Amino acid sequence: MRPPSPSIAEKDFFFNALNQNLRLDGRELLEPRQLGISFGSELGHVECSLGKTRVLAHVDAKMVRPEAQRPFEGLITIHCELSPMAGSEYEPGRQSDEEIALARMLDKIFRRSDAIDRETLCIIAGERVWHLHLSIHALADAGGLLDCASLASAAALRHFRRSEVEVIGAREVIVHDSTTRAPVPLAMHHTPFCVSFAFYSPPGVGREPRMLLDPAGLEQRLAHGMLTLALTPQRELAVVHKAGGLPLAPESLMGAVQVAARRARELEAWLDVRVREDWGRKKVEVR
Amino acid sequence: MVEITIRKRQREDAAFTQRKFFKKTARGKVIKVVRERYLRDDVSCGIEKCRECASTLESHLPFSGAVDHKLFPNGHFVLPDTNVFLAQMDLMESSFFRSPIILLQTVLEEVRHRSLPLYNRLKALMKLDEKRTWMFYNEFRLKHNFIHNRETAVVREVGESPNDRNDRAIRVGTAWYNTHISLTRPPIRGRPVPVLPTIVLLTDDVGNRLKAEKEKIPCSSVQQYYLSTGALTAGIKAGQLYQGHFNANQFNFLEGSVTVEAYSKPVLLIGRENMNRAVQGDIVTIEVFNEQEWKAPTDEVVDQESTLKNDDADESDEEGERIVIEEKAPRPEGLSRPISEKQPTGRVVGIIKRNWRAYVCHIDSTSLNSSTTTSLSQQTVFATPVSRLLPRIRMRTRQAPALLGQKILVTIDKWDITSRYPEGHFVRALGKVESKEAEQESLLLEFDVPYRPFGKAILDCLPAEGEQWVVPPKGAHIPAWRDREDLRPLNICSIDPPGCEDIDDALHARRLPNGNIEAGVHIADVSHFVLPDNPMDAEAAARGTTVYLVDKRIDMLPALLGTNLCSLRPFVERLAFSVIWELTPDAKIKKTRFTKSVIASKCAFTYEEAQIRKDDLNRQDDLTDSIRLLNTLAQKLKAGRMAAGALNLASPEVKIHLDSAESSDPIDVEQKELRETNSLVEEFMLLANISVAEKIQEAFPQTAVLRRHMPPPKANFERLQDILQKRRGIPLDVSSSGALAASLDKCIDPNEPAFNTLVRIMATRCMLSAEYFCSGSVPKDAFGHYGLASPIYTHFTSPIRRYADVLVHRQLAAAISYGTLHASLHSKTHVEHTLDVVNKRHRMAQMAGRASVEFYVGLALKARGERSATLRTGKVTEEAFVIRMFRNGINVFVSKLGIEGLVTFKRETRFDANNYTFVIPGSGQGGEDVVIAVFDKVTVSIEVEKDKNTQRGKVKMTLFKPIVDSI
Repeated sequence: MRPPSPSIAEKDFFFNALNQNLRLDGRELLEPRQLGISFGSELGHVECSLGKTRVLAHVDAKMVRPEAQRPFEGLITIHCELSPMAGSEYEPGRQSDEEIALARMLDKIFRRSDAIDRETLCIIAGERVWHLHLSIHALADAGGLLDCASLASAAALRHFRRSEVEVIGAREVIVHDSTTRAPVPLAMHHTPFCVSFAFYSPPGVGREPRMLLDPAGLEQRLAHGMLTLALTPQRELAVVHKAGGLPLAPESLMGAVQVAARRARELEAWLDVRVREDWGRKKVEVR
Repeated sequence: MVEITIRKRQREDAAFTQRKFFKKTARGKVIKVVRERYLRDDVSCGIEKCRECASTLESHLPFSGAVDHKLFPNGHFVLPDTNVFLAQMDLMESSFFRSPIILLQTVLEEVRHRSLPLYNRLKALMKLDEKRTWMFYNEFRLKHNFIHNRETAVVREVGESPNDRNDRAIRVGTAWYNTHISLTRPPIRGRPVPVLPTIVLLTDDVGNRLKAEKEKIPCSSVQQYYLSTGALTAGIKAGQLYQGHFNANQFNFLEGSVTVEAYSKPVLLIGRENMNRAVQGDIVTIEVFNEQEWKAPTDEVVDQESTLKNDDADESDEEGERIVIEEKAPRPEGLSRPISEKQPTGRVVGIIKRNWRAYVCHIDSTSLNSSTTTSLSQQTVFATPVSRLLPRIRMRTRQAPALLGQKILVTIDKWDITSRYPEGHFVRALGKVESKEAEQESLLLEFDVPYRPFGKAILDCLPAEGEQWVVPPKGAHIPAWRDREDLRPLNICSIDPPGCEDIDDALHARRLPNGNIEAGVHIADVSHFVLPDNPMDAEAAARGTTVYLVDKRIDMLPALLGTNLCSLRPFVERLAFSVIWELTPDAKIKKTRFTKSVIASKCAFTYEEAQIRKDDLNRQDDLTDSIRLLNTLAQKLKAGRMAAGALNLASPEVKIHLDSAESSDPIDVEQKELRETNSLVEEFMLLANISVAEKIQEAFPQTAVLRRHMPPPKANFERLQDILQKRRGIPLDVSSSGALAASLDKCIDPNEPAFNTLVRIMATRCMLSAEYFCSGSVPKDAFGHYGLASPIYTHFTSPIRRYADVLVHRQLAAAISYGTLHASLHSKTHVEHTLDVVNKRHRMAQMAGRASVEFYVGLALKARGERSATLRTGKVTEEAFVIRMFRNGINVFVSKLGIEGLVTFKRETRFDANNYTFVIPGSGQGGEDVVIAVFDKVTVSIEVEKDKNTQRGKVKMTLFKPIVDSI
């Protein structure tokens, strides 16, 4: 059931505060929310939280036949689920627009940007390849679902390790259990991170639109325009998504890109530390 | 009025002209189909100036066909079968295929039914002028009454499938052509018999070919196929075919060899067709040609990269003409080669087991289409393996531009019969070429060294206390103390190289009251921790050995065991397995006993420290006395071994000092240390190994794990003997190891002190390598170790770094009734299989170690070269000895660096194979001929150059003295 549109009082309060450069939860204009991450017992199982928004990501791998046109590449599929657990506006069993949008964006960010090297997932060309399946479950939606989901996916893909496979003489394939031989991490060309901005029309003539980083629930609903950027810490843009909304001048856009670049580097450093910590705890390998 | 003649078709012809059959339509109705065809008798054969067939206007085939093929010197025409067009259309279209083609109507129709695109291509082919094809309408040809009786229009026989009918029609057509030619050019009395060209049926279908051969139709096949497995096994059983491992020749990529027991020399496989898609390491079945066809191995260096650099990755391949052109390289036949040089020659008829794995390669930059880094299109490129023994691999990838300049891992998927190269796919990238990590990883991968970290299950096999584990205090019920002797009071010490962390062995000696000496060797008790059926055991068996690289060590067992719990560190108690002898003062063994024990090593010496301590006359304590006793005994043991004929061969050990500063040279070549303490440890280890070998052989005659060194076949020494005799007049007696040792001692050149070492090095290369074996698989007289002159031998003394030693420990423990032997060690097949793996890993580890040293030598040379370039001190030059001669180059050995190199000559040279000399005319100081022979000392200038294609730093040597050989 859709939540009712924000009331006039809420709107006025929000915009008045914005005019004074204040946000509803007391953050700065460009200050993101608190990040949290926890790893499950399996490798590739990650729960990520951004403020109150929580997303669960899980990576799985199995061996299948490859496509006929691409016999040397593995397969990656991304599956999203927004159940009513995430919010009352999501109906069970039906694919809501947000779900489709989320799935499409994640597909663009991770699969089409070639973040994961698919050729390394090949076992025997034309016969067996790895099929990676990334499934996203939204647990709580308080705005910024896409950011949180993409962070969770990046974490899950970094954290996951697939079993080691030995091919003998191009016919026999031996899959080693992950306890006897240390499992192998995925080969990733780059790790994209997603950053969202909300734009609001300028308060007066000749002024610039105002930009908020990491909009939370109400801020997102009241936004005049939304911009989502997915980029790597090496300052390469993977996806730029701005569907309608407030027209932006190039300077505003570039400004947003600079902010996003800094944020991506922060996210990367933070994620790296946490993943390594968990690997150490799990004793994945003995050297 | 014009006369009209009505000719009625004769009834007998109806059989050929009408075809009736019933056909069921898709809807289920049955209809009767009648097809008529009209036969003519004036269908032309198409050959120019044929007396009989009216030559029509269009292009026809030349009178004598193509005259330049060696199989058909009188000229030939090619009549291809359908499968040739279906599979090898590119060959037929290629401008290299110049034989005139006779295209039968049957073939054309079959192609049309099978593949429309190919049919279109075929029609386009026919229109080309240079192609000289002629379309023969064999289906329409009726018999000609008085000249020949065969027709080419063929009717389907009862029970013949349409395919067989077509094949028969093609065969009939070929036969008709051949008779037609011979009949239209009959010999005329008084004139010389005309030479007749032949029509050759070109087909790949085995059945068709066999039938054609039966009917005496000349035919040929486009490429080699494999026999079926049934045929292979039958052939092997009958003794006509042989099985063995395929080894590529690293100097010539068009040659390979297979070692089989039936022949004393390996069987040569010359040429791509005879190698028939075998890859280094595969197990193949071969057929050996008759003795007249045996050839000598090539003495030319044919480099795959330079010869094939113009091959296009995308083209599907052209066998046939291209190969004929390449392999016309002159081979020294018959006359100038002595008969003994010829080796059995054969070809591969089937592959029993492919041993493909992932290989380290570089992408060949010349095979890329577009090198823009943003190109994501799928490209077919060549990946050149780092190892010279492997062929180039064709692979498709979308990241080709990004992978240039990186080392990558590629694995082979298949090698089609139609393809000149195997096909493979990309596994992963290792990193930029020449970066430390990439090179290190690539080295380990090239030699298949398992280097991935141990898994969690292995961790669970280690004792729970981890680093804090100690030998539990003595007690009757403690399992660790069961049946162990308490040798802690003994003065045991260990002597090892400096910096050694995994101490395998410790020794002691003391005088006994009866005048004899008790000596003991104590080995780390690894089998106490590594139990059979453990995951740790399985992993250690797969690894086989610890691999020592210059800067890294890949352990067989987790470090906790290797460097701590099993290592016989001083001042702590450790579990051990002891061999204790009672020896007379003359080092004769009176008694031997084996026991598990607990020891407490008193000190860990380096070789130098022990030597100093022994020589220090002020020290008279028990420990020093023990070392002195051991020393005296060791000297006597060694004398005894030398008298029995043990060999003392030289292999220079190149040591790399990694921690020296950039400016000083990190390379240092050391001969093996010759201190007394080295010899001491060596002698006692040998003694221990021999004693244990005898014991386990006695206890388990079927499955004991032993080690042997086969005497080298006389043939291996032939070349060396010949060279020594011709160049220096020194005979080399190889009848026994003692004789060889004595001969080697006499190989001295008073002018050149390094000559003796050089000869020893060359003799070492003639040796076979030692190997582990299972005692039940081999007759007792083949147990011996040639190099050590011992009738029986095993490895017992280093279980931390060798898996075979762990197995020997288990067997010895069972032999002394310490425990029961695990069932797997009672099974001969299991032991044989495990030892196969261990032998292979051992070889790979050696090669990896050597390659690591070479890599660092290359780096150091590069640094030296750069330094000399900046200081302008001229090129880096070194002295070298010539050790082998090829037709177009020499192989030299630089003793100071311990590396070998190939020097190819760019000038005109005269090669004398019999006298092992090269004569370079007119290049000396006064214009006289300069002669270079084997064993001569020359100077070479060394530089490290980066090959543009493979990005490898290659050591390149050019002759500096006696002549400067530059481009």
